[in-house]
Amino acid sequence: MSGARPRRPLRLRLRGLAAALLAGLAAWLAAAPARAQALLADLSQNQLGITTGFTGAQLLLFGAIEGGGDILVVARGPNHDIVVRRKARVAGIWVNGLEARYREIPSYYAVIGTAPAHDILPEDVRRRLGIGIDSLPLLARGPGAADPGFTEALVTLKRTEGLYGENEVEFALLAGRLFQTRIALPDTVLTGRYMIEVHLVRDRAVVQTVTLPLTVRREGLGAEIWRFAREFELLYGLGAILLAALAGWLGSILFRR
Amino acid sequence: MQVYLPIAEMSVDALLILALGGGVGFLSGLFGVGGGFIMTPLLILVGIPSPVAVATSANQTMGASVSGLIAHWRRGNVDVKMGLVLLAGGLVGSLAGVRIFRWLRAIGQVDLVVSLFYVVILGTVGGLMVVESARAILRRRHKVRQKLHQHLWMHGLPLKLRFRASRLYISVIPPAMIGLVIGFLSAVMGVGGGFILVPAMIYLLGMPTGVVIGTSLFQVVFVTANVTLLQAIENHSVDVVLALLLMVGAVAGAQFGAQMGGRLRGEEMRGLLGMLVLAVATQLAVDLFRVPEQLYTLGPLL
Repeated sequence: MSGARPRRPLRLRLRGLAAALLAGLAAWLAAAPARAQALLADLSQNQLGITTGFTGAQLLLFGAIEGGGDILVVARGPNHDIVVRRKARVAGIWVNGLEARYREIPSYYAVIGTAPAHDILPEDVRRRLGIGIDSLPLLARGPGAADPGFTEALVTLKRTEGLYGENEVEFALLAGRLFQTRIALPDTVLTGRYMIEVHLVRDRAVVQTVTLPLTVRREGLGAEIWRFAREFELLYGLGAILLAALAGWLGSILFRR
Repeated sequence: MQVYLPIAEMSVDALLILALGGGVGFLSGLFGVGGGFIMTPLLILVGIPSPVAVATSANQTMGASVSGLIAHWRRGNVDVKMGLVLLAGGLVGSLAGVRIFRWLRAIGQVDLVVSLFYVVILGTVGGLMVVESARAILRRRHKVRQKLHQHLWMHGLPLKLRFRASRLYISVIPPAMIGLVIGFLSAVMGVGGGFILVPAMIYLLGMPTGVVIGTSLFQVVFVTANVTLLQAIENHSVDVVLALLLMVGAVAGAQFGAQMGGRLRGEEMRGLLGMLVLAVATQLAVDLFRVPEQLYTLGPLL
């Protein structure tokens, strides 16, 4: 876990509470299905720091719905470019052969919900909103593009790394109103902006969506080292040499024979 | 205790890395080698991406070699002139090696080439070492006399120089070529190359054994320093946190190794080292031929 987590400022939490009260009031006054604030949701934190002790994180997502329905949560990480390679046997040894390249695909993607998305949403809506791994635009290019095996392997490998997931964690809905679940981020997550969409589904349609941003960034000494290695590559290299020379010299002093 | 490696972008168990450094340090102290050739495969085995393993191992080998160089320098066991000729070749070789490494990484064949180099080079050198030490052990029993050094055809090439500390008058072309090859291997394999350099200096150049280790360390320190710098600039793959953990373990381990090493005879030690080198080569060769657990791999698009 990542040490002290930044909590949301009190002001924001109060604002959330006020919004909830107002929504309740509005619903009661109108005595009609609450359209304005039928769904409220928030994350336990909207900043996540990757520090030297980072081993992954579990973010708490919580909220409330008014008037019943199903909830679907879609979490997306920043896009990245990736290449999938397939090993082939050449003269008895296994070498990387065909490859397929994917540009601008989500580095992280998770769906969690009260029910499987394809049971509660029409297929075209589900695909348009990008709910479910099979609705991701994973467009292959390169020599292996024609073979669907590459895209399957991409999804399988991402799933085993915990970077793609469908209903991998529990979704708790209390008394049909309060809900709570977790966004599980492994230690290999990329830094950048994450988007968590919470959809309220009623009668096979999305009636409301709340979007929660999350920023993942490097913090502490590790972040400084990474930045320095990229921005001042020459100095970093010289520093690494100096460090090794110093360690060797110290060793020879400590254990002088 | 988990530590996040900033360049490898993953977390590892710090104690495991310290133990790894200690184990390799022990062997390097025992046999008087840098240990890079065991370090790189072990790091890859632990899950460190091979570009980071190769670059960081070169960085670590430099630290380990500095201690040795200081000790040999004090005793006057370094032929600086020969060292500079080797180094000239080494700098060119390592520059070429890092460039080729970058290209291999882009086409996705870096793991294969690193493994192949390990299997071929370690297999050959390990085999030669075992055979040579077996001969030496037999020779000791039969008391056959040996010449000081033999004159090979290549010693007669142009650009002859006098190497006073090595008591040699030979062409600079063979040592520069040897330096070039070692520099290249250092960049691609993340090794210092002492285990190839030392036999090459003895058998190909005919240098007296007294100055061989010191001079080889001289070349290794500067070539691995150059590799560290080039890898940092070209591939951004030197992880100082990983290198520091390895060096702390290695410095401590090397002392125990050196104490143990004093009790073994030279040819017995070379035989054991040869077997160790062969074992690493065999393990990597088996991995090349075995059906991989994962047929597909993910990689960044470079």
